[in-house]
Amino acid sequence: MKFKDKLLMAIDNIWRRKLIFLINTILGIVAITLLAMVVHMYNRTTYTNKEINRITVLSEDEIYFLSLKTFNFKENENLINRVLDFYEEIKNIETVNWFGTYAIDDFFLDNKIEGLEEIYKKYSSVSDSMFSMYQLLPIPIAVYEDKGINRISMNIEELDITGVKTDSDISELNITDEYIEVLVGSELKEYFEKGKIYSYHQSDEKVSIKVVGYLQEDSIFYKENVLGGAPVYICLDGYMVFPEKYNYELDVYGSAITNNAMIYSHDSDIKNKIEILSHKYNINVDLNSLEGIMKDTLKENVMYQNIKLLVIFIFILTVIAYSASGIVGILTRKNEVGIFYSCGLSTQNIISTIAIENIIQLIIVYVISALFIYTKFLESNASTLSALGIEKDIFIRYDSIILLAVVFSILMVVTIFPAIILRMMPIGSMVNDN
Amino acid sequence: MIKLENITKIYSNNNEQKALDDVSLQINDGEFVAIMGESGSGKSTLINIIGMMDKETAGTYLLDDVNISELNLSQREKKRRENISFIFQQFALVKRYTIYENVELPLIAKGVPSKKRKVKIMEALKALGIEDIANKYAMNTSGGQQQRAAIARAIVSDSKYILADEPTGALDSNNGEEVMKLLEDLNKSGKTVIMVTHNENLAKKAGRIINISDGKLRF
Repeated sequence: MKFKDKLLMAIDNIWRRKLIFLINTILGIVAITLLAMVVHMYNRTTYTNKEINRITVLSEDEIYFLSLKTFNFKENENLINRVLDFYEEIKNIETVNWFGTYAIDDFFLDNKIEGLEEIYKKYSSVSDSMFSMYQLLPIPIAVYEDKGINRISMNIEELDITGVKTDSDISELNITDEYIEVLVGSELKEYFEKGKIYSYHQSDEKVSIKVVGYLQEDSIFYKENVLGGAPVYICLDGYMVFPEKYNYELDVYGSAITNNAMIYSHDSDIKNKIEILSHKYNINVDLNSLEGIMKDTLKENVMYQNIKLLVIFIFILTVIAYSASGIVGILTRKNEVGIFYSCGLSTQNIISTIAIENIIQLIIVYVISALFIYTKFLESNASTLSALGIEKDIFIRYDSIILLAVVFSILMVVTIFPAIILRMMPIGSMVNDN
Repeated sequence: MIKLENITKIYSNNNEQKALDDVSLQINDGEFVAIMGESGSGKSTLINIIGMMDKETAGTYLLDDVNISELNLSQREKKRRENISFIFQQFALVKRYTIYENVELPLIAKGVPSKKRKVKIMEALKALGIEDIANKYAMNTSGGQQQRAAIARAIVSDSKYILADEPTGALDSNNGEEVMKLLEDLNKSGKTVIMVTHNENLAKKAGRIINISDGKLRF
């Protein structure tokens, strides 16, 4: 039997069994869409939880994040020594199991502040937990004089959508060979003059920025919650807004100077002890437990987790229905299979024709699902979906595509399997089966 | 020539039922043979084994001196496709196919190009006087028309052996007569026709009658 005839027969069979094909297609689309959502939810959750769980496997309330509120290293050199001594004493507390610092940039005007680097060298912690901590706290990314500065990269349109206003009519932020155009939050106005160029060192690289405008006071920006759940709102007053093209994360991760620390301790009194030390060294600090941070975040996650479970459940049901529909479809064609066989079609021909039918259906399901995902439906429900932790790019993730392909290959085999079983039965009886 | 030597067929169920028990027979080319027996006698099993729709449990089956018993599945399927056509009691047409498409099936199985298929199919339909219902769905035709279509399907593949299992069983007497006439004509044209029936009157139209009872041939 020629391949062309198999293909035509498969298409013909699909066309003649339109209703069943339509039902299977709908089931397939629902299943594939749900699977993509589940994969995305799973990946997002496990990516973040993997990092957090490495910390929280110890115990959430035993992890503390310490942030220095004073950054004025330049004017107060003694501060460096006090910070060093402060950290040293914390580290030497018997009940402190682990102490580490993580990095931010130092921000200066062509003068490097070496004190911070000294702190980093002594207490730097090179671990994956660094990255996770950035996701948990609004950590100052840079220090300028006595001000901690946070950095965010985005395009102007995102600011417009949220309603954040600038004082000048700026449509985009550019990156030139000489500098990067930035917007500055209201709290940083007194430090950075409009039109002026400032520079700093990031590792060995010199970065120059030009202030092109200021954000209005109380600029609130809506940002999706990387832990899932409801979005978070960021006050951009203490931020510098960089162009979207500027790689924010690498910049942060590659920083070399530190003013924040993480402490792990079973001691229920550790907070008091650290507060006493901070008074001793006259260092203004914020001390938060991971539990406290997670509590608020996880409250919002409960609904998200429940939705995820529901989606998984519906996906499993849909897959079962899709498989059952395919199997039932084959079993109701026993008579037809017997007739084909009696007319001279070989076992291999029959099975391959059925396989082609399934492949065609699979392709149609996949294409329609992809179109469905990328239609206006998603666009118009972006905020709702974003709250569920679903992004529009769920189909371009390679791991989603591979998993989808594997699952539906299995489904395809499942629907062919009955045809193989059919062959083991006496074909003579199948011809008369109605 | 068809030669069965000591063919036994046992169905593996709880009773280990012997459908055929040490059956030996020979059918020469060009014969019109009727296999007669009551319901459950093993006649359908016998014709299924001859037609390679089922495999014998023991014994040897020779088709034109080729030992079918020693062939693997795909070799048997090829042999069947090349040499044997079937006509069934319930016509065995795909209901949602047209008459044309049903008749086309054996030619598709043989890989005949579509243009040649059309010629052969229309010839066969004309020979049976059903060319005007070629585009009708099988489910929308009468029993007599369906059986003619089944015979057309058997003709179109130009097989040497025609196996008919109760070909008139689902037809009225007029249509039954017509079908028998067609089988006789096929035999006269050189085909070997093997017909299963429980009807003595029909069996008498054959050149030879083989009686079977409880899986054994009776002489």
